[in-house]
Amino acid sequence: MKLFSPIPICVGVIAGFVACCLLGRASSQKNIYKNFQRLHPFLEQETSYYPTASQLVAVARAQCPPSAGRKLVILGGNSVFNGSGQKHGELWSRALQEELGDRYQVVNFSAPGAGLVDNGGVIFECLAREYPQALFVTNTEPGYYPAGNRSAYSYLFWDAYYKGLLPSDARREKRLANEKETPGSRELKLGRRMNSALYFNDLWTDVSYRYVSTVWTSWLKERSFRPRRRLPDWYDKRPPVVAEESEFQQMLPGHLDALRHRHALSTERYQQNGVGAWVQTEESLHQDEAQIADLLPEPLPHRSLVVFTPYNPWFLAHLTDAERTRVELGFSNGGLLLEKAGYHVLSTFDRGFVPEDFGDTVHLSPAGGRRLAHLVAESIRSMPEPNQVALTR
Amino acid sequence: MKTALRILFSLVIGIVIGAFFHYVLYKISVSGEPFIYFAF
Repeated sequence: MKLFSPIPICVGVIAGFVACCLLGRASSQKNIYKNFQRLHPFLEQETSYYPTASQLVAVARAQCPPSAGRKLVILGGNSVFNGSGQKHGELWSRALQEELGDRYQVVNFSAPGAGLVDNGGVIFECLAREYPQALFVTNTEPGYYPAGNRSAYSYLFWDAYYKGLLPSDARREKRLANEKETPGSRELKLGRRMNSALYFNDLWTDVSYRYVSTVWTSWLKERSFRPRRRLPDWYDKRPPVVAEESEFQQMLPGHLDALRHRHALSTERYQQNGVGAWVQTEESLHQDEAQIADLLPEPLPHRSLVVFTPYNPWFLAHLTDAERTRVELGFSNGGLLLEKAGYHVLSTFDRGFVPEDFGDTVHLSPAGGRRLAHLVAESIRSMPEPNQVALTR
Repeated sequence: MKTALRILFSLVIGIVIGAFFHYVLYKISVSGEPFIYFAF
C-alpha cells in the first residue's frame, strides 16, 4: 500500500512553509521578552542569539506605549552602558530610570563591543517618527564611530533596513551603494533581505527564547538547548565586582596593554607639533568627522546624547604623560567633532570618577554605575525638547 | 477512508517538511562562530 501521495505532500510543504512565514511575521509584532532589562550575553550574539530589529522595537513599544505619555530614552553603546559586571539589580540603567522618574522610560539596548549607533541607534531610528519626543543616549570612546552597517552588530542594521523600518536617507543610500562588498557581507545582506520577506529569524528566535534553543554554543555547552527565557541574566551568577587596587594590580600588564591599544591612545592618530605638543593628525580628524557624518540621518543627531565614558584613573596613572595627554586630547576632540555634527555630548573624563567606580579599566562597578546614571540624567534633563521632526520612510 | 488517511498523512508530512525548510533558513543564517567580547 502506498503510504504517501505526492500532491498532498507538495501542498503540505508549501502550506507549512507559508504558515511559518506568517507565524514569524506575527511573532515579530509582539514583545516576547519578559522583564527585559538589557541584552545580557544569553540574549545577544555572544551566545549565537540574534534578536531581530522588529523584536527589539516591540520591546520598546511594550515598555513605553505611545499612549503612556512618557518620554522614551533608548540606550545604545557598548559593554560600559550594558552594565558589564553589574548584576541586574545593580544595573546603571535602572539607576538612570530612578533618577529620571516616571516622565521617562529607559530601555537599554546596548551590547558588548557595540559601536555608537549599533542596536540602540538602529531601534531609535526605527521609532523616531512614532516617538517624536524619544531620545537616544549612547556611549563610545574617542576615535570609535562605526556606522551601523560596519560593525559587529551590522546584522541588526540590515534587518531593520530590509524590513523598511529605517527612515529613508538619500545620503545613506548613496554611501551604501558605493561601499565595497565582501562575500561575507553579501551573504549577511542576502539572509536579512530574505528574512524581511520570510521572517525565519523572527520565528525561530522566538522559539529559541520561549521553547527550545537549537544552536549549540561553547559558552552555554549543555545549556545551549534550554529556552533562553529560562537562563537568568549571566552577570547575576558571577562573583561581585571587587573595585580595589589589589584587584587592579592583578590585571597588570594585560589590561594596561589593552588600554594602550585603544583608539584614544593610538600613536597613529596623533603627532607632536613644532613645539613638542601632541595634536591629533589632520588625517585622523577627517576620518573621525567622516565617520560621525555617517552615524545617524538628520535631524536625529540633535535628539542624541553621546557619552564619552571614563577610563579608570588608577590605570591612567600608570600611563606616561604623553599617553595621558593623548587621552585628554582624544576626549576633547571627539566631543568637539560630535557637537559640530549636532550631537549633544557628555564627557565624563574629568567628572570625579575614582578607582572604586571601576571593575577594570573601563567597566563600572555598581557605585560607578550610579555616578554615571546621575551625570547622564542631568544631561538628559538639560537637553532641549525635540521638535517635531520630518522623517520620511 | 484509506485514501483520506493517506492524503491527511501526506499533508502532515509535507507541513513538517515545509516548517523544516523554514527552520533551515534560520539555521544557516546564524553564525557558527559567535562574536565574543568577554569583559568580566
